[in-house]
Amino acid sequence: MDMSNVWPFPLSLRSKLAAAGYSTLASLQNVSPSALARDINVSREEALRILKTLHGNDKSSSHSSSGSSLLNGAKTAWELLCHENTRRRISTSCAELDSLLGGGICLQEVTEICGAPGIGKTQFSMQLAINVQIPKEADGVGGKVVYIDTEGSFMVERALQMANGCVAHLHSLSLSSLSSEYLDVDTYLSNIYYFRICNCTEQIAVVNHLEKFLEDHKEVKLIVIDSVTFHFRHNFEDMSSRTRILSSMGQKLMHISESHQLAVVLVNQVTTKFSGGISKLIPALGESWSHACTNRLILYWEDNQRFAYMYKSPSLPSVSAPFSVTQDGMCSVNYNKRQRV
Amino acid sequence: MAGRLISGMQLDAPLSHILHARGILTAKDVLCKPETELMELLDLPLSRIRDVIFQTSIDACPPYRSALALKEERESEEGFGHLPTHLMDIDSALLGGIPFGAITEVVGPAGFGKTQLCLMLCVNAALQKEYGGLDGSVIYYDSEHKFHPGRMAEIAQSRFPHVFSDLNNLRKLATSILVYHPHSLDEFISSLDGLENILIEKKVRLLIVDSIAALLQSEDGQENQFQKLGRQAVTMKYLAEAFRIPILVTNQVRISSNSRFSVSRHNEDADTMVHDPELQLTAALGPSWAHSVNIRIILESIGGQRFLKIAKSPLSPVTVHPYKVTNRGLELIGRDNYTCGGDIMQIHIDDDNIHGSGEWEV
Repeated sequence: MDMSNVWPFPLSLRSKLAAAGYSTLASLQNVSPSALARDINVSREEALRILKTLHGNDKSSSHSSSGSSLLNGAKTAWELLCHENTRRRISTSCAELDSLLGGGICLQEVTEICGAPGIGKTQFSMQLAINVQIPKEADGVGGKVVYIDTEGSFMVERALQMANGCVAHLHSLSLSSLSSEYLDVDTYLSNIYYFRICNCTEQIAVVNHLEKFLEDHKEVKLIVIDSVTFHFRHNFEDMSSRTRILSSMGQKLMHISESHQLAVVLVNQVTTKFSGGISKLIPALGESWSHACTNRLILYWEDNQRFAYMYKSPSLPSVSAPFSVTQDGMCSVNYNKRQRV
Repeated sequence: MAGRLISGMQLDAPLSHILHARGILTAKDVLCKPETELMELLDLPLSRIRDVIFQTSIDACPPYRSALALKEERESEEGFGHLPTHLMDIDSALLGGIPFGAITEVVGPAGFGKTQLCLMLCVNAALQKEYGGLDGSVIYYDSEHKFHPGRMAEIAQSRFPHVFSDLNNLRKLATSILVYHPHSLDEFISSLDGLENILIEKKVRLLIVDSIAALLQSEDGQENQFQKLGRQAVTMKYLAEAFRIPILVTNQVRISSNSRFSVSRHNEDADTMVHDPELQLTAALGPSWAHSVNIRIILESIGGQRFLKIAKSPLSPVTVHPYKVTNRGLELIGRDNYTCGGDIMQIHIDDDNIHGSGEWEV
């Protein structure tokens, strides 16, 4: 049907459109601004304006909506930068480590901690589980934690020691606005949601279950999986199925960390790699797993001192920082020379 | 929970039937397959498949507890969740003793006292509650035929003379220790599979594997063996946690392939660095096994003195305790400030501790 005489355009434009073969509304449904511009010899901006005007009342057409709605949810880098500066971080109780991490473990990111056995990965995780609970009045995040223990290394007696250390530290700050529950170690223990995982099926199940769990427990700001490796190291004859399951798990965790604005900390083990006759320790679970985390921290010993090395980070430099572990938990190297390990 | 049957879950009847008909019987079958494979197998749309996966996950996921509830559970447990060694400094470092629900490994060269430590812990586990024991049985996997009941009796009588001077108590102790002699890794694995019944019937309070490294001496490729062993670590941890018992495992040493080695000893008087390029020992079974154990205790010697080092422990820093072996088993000698690095694979040993053929004597 020839509708050209009801189009809201000047005559010259109408004749150009007709000459190019665009005589009905239907013909202009699916044409892109670039193609129209070429056909009727106008600028692209002009062509876009024509299409928008024409389909202005038509809700089903994609041309009627603003260009950026196709990218719904996209933010400008400026918005992200402003958000970044207000993004909260979880302190590690060690000043050098905190500055290595740009202030602490970042919410909305997945951080992997790997290292040789006995270096302190579980200590790190337990310290974060306590520190995430430090209230906002004391510059903390004030959140709860889901601790997924796949190896049985979470010892509640040790968590109690760390909670005591944290409470002692808060006491020393003498904050009058702090409510008394934050000075009670039992509070810190009650805010740790502990899952004990005994095989890889349970591990897959708990990650699938997290979405629902987090809806029911909105105050959770940290998820720790210690370790993500143990059940996946030995039970898979079929490597491709392991890679698939791990990468799906990694993606789910990344999505959860962004959408619920919490930090995900994954503990990984190391494996030996032989190259040129020398054996080296590298993070376990293979190359494809390296993409699952935003940041990767490697812990190692050197000359009887523990170090953390920022192996992978989108924004922080790859440097090392020393740290120690004492009865009260993690701390800086100079904290207390007597109790240093 | 992995073996949890689909039929036990709250899925609607037609769905359960389809799953069953296509051979999907357990939670593991559902969760370890890709979504596309499930779609093909069950001929269902993606949204339904996701529902099934979601339901299965909720069902297969173990329940959570708060750490506070965990603490209360431990407090009401026997021994507060630890089996004491009755070596004061060790028990204080490990916040009570070797923990339940975890694998504690003792590694060291032959003759340094690993089996002695196992025997001591046997006695402690079988001892009556009023004397600080757990009053239970012990399962002892003796792969090297090192278990000598006479030696255990000697340890029991020297440590607890008032209890074991009565021979009835000694007999009761001996009947609580069940000794098995597995001859290969496969035999050990199949025995672990049937262990649950025995753990319940006999009220087992301690599981010992002495030594686990000896089970791997066979023609089978090393990689394959390590993989099998890794799977057993998963099974053992499950048993330890489900039955809340400690598992003690002993491991051997082997010559390390690295060429640089140094030990540093620091006390108030002097700094001594000893380089010994000849003899570098490392714990057997590799770093993957080292990850699998929760606690690693190393028995080694430096400068002619034997040390017990708690090298890996979520409960304590690296601590080093000089010790000697006596008729009471292992005994700690005094205290000292040895700082040691953290390579938990490295085992120090002096030349002068080697006798003739390479066998040590206690």
